[in-house]
Amino acid sequence: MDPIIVEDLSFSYTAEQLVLQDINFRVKQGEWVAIAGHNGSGKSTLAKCLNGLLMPKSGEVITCGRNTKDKETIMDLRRRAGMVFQQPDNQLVAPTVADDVAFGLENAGIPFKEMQERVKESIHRMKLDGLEDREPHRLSGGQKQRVALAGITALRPEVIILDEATSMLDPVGRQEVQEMMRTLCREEGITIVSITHDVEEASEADRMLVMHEGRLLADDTPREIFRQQEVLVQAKLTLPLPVKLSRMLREEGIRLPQDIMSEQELVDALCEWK
Amino acid sequence: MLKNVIIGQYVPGRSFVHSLDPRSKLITIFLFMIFIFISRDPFVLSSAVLLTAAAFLTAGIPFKFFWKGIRIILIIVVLTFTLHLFMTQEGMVLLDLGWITIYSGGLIEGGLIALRLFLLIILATMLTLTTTPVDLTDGMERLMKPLKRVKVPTHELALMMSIALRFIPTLLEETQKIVKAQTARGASFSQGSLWKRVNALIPVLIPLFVSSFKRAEDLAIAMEARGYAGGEGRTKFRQLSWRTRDTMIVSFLLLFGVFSIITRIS
Ligand SMILES: Nc1ncnc2c1ncn2[C@@H]1O[C@H](COP(=O)(O)OP(=O)(O)O)[C@@H](O)[C@H]1O
Ligand SMILES: [Mg+2]
Repeated sequence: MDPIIVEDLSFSYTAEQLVLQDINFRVKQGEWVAIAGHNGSGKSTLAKCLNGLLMPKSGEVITCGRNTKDKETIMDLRRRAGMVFQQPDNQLVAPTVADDVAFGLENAGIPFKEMQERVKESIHRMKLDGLEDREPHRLSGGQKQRVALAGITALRPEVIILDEATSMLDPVGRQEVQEMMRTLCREEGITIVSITHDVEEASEADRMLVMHEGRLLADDTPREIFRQQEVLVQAKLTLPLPVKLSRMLREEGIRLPQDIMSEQELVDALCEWK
Repeated sequence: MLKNVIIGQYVPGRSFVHSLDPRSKLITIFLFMIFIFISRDPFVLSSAVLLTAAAFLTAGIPFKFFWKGIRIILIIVVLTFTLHLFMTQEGMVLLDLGWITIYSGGLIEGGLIALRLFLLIILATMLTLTTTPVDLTDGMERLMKPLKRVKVPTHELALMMSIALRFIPTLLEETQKIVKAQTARGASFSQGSLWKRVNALIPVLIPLFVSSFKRAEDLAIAMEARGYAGGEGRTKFRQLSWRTRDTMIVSFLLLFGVFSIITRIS
């Protein structure tokens, strides 16, 4: 079964206005899905519906085979679908890195011996070795987000949801976190749902959902979405630089292959160009 | 000035005092405090001084650093001494200046209180210098555990302390940022009348408050997302280990206590 199934989801914070309307999509096992859309389009709200932090007003959300409305399984669901938030500072709970990585395990009631092993393993996986006793406020932004990821991976999740987890980071921190996302998804087969403003990051995804005023405007591969001018304009998305540059070059009559997605592809194409 | 307050700072080390379980340190200090406050026996008090000195020497904290750190707090000791010196009217008259009279009783009372406070401050400072704040909160949580039966929310209290520890540095950093931002806009925190300076703090405190509430909300959501649902059924990552040395030090203190009570009665 698909790890995320969203059916006719609607949600509102207040009585007047629907923040999410008739949302339908599925995410496949091991898939990397990017969600884009301008501020206030409902991305964070959608993310919170995925792991039962918010309950649908109508429709269903079934994550890892568990309906988010089911109170019995909600804790289990949250363990299987971890979430990284935007503000690195506001999601680390404990006074040291190791304690923070252990927080979710403590909540799950994992026995001490196993907890110790899992914390060590997660810290190593997120390349945080040697920082076990470091206080969160003495970490860089990228390190903080990796600690948050370590806290989630320690729970061996099936899905990781990232809500603009890289948007507050400097380029180096962003690289670090994106690299971890790649490893988790491509090598370990963890399903990733990543909300992002960064179109370059989105272009790496298998699929891209575009939100606009609480509705799903488009659901396709990034390649396909970058071709749809109306969608880009409506969602106020700018194309990634390599895509934009190759298009401009093509318009100038330089014959490059269509649909160049990454810098590497552009460089390769230009090197082969005669 | 805040730079010179060392209470609450941890100085890493491998001394005997460092290696003790935080629970035994807390119990020891608590017992010690009770005993020196009930005892007036010169022998008991001088052994208390010796014990404190011994503990200090074993902990291996640089003396200069320590002295600089407690200097400011010692003002309290001096103040208490002076108050007792002038207010007590017992014993022989030592000095009579007409408007002020000093009695021998005042000297003794003042000295006694000052000594007790002095030892207390030294020990409390040493406790925080040789124990990480995390261990300290952990020790307190374990010691408070029996209170759970009388409905004291010990887990929640400990969590609160631990979150406070986590966020104090973050909030201090943020305060500095806001102060800089307001200074850049022409605010002045070191000039003008007291009233003006206090007023200048308002534009610092308000953003700090607003962002703290935002933080608290974010943190609550993050904790929920990570499966936090209260203390029930939780395991603990931090384990404390009570060793022979801990039993020894606590027994020793108890003996010292019995001794000080005997001298008090006889
Ligand atoms: N806690 C809340 N209470 C009320 N309204 C909210 C709350 N959070 C968000 N909203 C509103 O819901 C809409 C969608 O917000 P959000 O999901 O945060 O969008 P995004 O993450 O895409 O920027 C916005 O109009 C916002 O004002
Ligand atoms: Mg958002």
